[in-house]
Amino acid sequence: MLTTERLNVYYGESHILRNVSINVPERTVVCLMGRNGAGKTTLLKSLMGLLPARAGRVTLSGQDITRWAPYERARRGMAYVPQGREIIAQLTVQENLILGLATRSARTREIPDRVFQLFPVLKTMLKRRGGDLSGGQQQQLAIARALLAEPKLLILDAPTEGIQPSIIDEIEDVIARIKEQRTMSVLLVEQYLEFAWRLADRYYIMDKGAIVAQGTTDELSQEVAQKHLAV
Amino acid sequence: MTPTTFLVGQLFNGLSVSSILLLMALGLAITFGLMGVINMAHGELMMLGSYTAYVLQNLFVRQFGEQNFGGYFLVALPMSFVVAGLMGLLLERALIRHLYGRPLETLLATWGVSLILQQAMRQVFGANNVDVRSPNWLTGRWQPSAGLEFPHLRLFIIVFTALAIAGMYALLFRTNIGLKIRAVTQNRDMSACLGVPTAKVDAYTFSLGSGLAGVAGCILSLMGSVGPTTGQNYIVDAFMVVVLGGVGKLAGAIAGSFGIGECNTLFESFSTATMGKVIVFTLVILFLQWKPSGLFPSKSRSLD
Amino acid sequence: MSHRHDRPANPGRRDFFRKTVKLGAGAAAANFLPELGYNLMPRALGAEPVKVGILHSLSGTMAISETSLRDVELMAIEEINAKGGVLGRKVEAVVEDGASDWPTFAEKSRKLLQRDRVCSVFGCWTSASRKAVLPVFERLNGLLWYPVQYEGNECSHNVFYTGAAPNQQIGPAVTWLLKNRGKKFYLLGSDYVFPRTANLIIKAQLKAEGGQLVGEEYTPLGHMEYSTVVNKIRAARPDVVFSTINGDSNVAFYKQLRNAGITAHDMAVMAVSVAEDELRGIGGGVAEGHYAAWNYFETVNTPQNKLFVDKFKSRFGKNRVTDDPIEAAYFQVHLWAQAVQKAGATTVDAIRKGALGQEFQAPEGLVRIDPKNQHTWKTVRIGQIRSDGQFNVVYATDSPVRPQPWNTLLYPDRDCNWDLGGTVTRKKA
Repeated sequence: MLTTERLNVYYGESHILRNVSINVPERTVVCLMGRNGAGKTTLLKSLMGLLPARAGRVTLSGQDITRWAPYERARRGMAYVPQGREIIAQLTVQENLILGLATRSARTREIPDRVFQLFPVLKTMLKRRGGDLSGGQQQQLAIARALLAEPKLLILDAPTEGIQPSIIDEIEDVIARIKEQRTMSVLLVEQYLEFAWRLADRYYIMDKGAIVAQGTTDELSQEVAQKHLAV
Repeated sequence: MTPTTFLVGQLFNGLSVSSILLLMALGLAITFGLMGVINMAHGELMMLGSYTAYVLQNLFVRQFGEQNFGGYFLVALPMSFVVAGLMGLLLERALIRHLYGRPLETLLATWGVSLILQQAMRQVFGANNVDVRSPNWLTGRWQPSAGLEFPHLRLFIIVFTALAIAGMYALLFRTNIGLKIRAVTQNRDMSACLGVPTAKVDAYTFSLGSGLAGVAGCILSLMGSVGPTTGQNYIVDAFMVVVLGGVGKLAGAIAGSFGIGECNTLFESFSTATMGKVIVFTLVILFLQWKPSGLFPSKSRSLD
Repeated sequence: MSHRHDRPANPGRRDFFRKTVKLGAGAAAANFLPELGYNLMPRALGAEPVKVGILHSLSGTMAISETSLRDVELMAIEEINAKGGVLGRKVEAVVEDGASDWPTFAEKSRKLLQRDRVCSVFGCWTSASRKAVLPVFERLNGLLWYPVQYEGNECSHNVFYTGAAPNQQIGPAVTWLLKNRGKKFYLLGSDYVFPRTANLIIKAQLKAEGGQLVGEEYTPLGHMEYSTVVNKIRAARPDVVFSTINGDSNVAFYKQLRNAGITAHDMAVMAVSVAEDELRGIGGGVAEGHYAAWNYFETVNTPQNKLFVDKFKSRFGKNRVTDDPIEAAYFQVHLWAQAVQKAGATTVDAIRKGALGQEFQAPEGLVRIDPKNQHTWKTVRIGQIRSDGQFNVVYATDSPVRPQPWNTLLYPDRDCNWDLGGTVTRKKA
């Protein structure tokens, strides 16, 4: 559904992504792995349109979206949970959630109840400021906000990073449920190998801005993981 | 006149001056406070509002005669918002959006715009001041007791400013567009990723701030002069209010204007107009040395 | 305003040569054939025009006031040219923009005197601009014709002052107010040199003539908030507010005074910086009944003024108004032309000499350049503001008043007398 073809991205004059080609098929969970600084977050940012591609192509459901603005990509069904969550700190939990509805054409401010079934804790803190939540709660809020858009593709950047274990389990449950229901694709950046292994159908491994290995997670051997991921 | 009535009169004047300052600063609290755009043409947007009042006054005088032209002001208020708002929209689309995050260039470019607008008004209306008259229903006075007179115009400005503030709060905190404005000014990238058309929101926000400047100009045309350089009289005060209040907070602008307004009238009663201004400026500078981010510091990322 | 004026381009070498030859031929012809008529000959041969400078702010904050002076000076030059110019030569104006910036005034006056070699400059409005150009005119021996009332205390050999000295505006106004409106004065002015100097004079005069000072207040230039001042005035209960407020602040002051319910009936404001041109922006209704002191009002009833106003309006538009500085700017050009005609030459020293004692029937009445101090004898008038922004003249001196640049109360021993070499200390009688 989402593909990149020979994508090249720069920060100023430094060449970060080199000829990256990936494919996220419909209704699958794809995991993107790699060491720190391999270019994973840069790839996600450029998928969302936050960083311009200097060469190459990004297509979504067959449509070339390489030059689209981030909000247009969001409206076409891409949702993004960035590293560090990017909860809008001065806005309340409720307002952050309402923003998740921004892609809908209807001017609704009604938050569907399903979100609170997935993350019951959010219901109790609707009036709190986003910035006052704990890291784990912010992560849940960020995922809930992304899901409210009912995306075709959910992009998650390191959802377990710096989060307490009990909440990691909850997050894993949610992703597992998405996978089960097969309503959307998930592109997941994850350092925590076990977590990725359990959830993902396919994997890509990046190193120095390029894809160095790929395949189905079933085939992902210990050696390959060792070679590219061990610190 | 007893000292008490003088003092009560001065307290009222302080309130009036504060509300006038707030009215001037309201639009700037949006464009500079929320968006971080140093708009040197803010005063000229106010001037556009004043000239809108002038044009409508003349139309009404021609239409309804010298005695019954007073209704013009009710039309002029929304029209000045529209005129200045459209100019703001044009300015944002044509110029300012290319300069986000570059304060120095913005400052220079908008200063240029202010000169262009001044010259344009000179070409159209002439270099002289023009005469904007108060409608009859605003020329009276309320006399609660002997020696105390509260002009209707000043009462009107106080009430109008209060309503404008309430309206701003409702818009920013009760509507979807208000939510988007706050989201974009705090975290542009994330808002975009959530599907908020940030460029459009920027344009609306700037246009809103400009429109408010126009309304302020329309009302102030009843208090002061209306000419090509009118805007220059207001811009310093407006920036001072927003900076003192703390950039990014509406509450800051309110506190800032009341602080400056009441202090200024108070000091002026005991010294002179010049000294009053000097004392207030000194206090503001000292305060900002102590608290550089103003009365209501904001953690907003809009100025990152 | 960006009106461009036809200004001769920098003469090329050949051009310059041609002009020199013609000039030489003209002079030669005049020398050899004196009986043919000195006046006709050079014109027939296309003599060099007489160049004068016009230096006002055509942009910036002062453009509001000064562009009208440029307009009317050009109008006067045209009148002179229509009657054959001076000394049979056309008068040509070089217009420069002082841009409301005092260093620019100095730079442009240097340019006019050195490059354009003009024999006189009509210019300036603010005292600050005049002070800025004064050293230039004195060093390069130029002549400035200055048409605006000012605070006095100046006596330059290189300036002709055709606006009022303080004793031709402020002094008579104070005397008239004491006699007609009451003793208690509140002095209110913008915070710069003219109001502070003017108020020194007024205070000395109040003391001498039995008035009482109940308040003195200065507001910054461009001040827009007069509520506190109005409240103070209300508390001080003066009979008269003597206003030396300048510029836009006037609009705010009159509007807010009227808004506070204080009318001219309760308490009169006498202004010395508010004329017809400013009243258009204030709105006559707001200031109705208050006073201003000047030498000229548009409503002055002289045949010369009727012609002047008609001509001004047909030329610049029905909505434009004449006022005191405009009128002075106009007549000073005619005084200059008479001076040149009398001098028979266009050197600065000759013109200065020719100008002394020169008289002209101006729109305001007879004006005369004082032969000793280079200021101008003028009629003093007080006008009451009408709702249409014009004045009813309520007082006028019978004859022109002699100008005294040094106020006699403040500087009893000083005088400006160029027969004796400029500012002199008077011997006690």
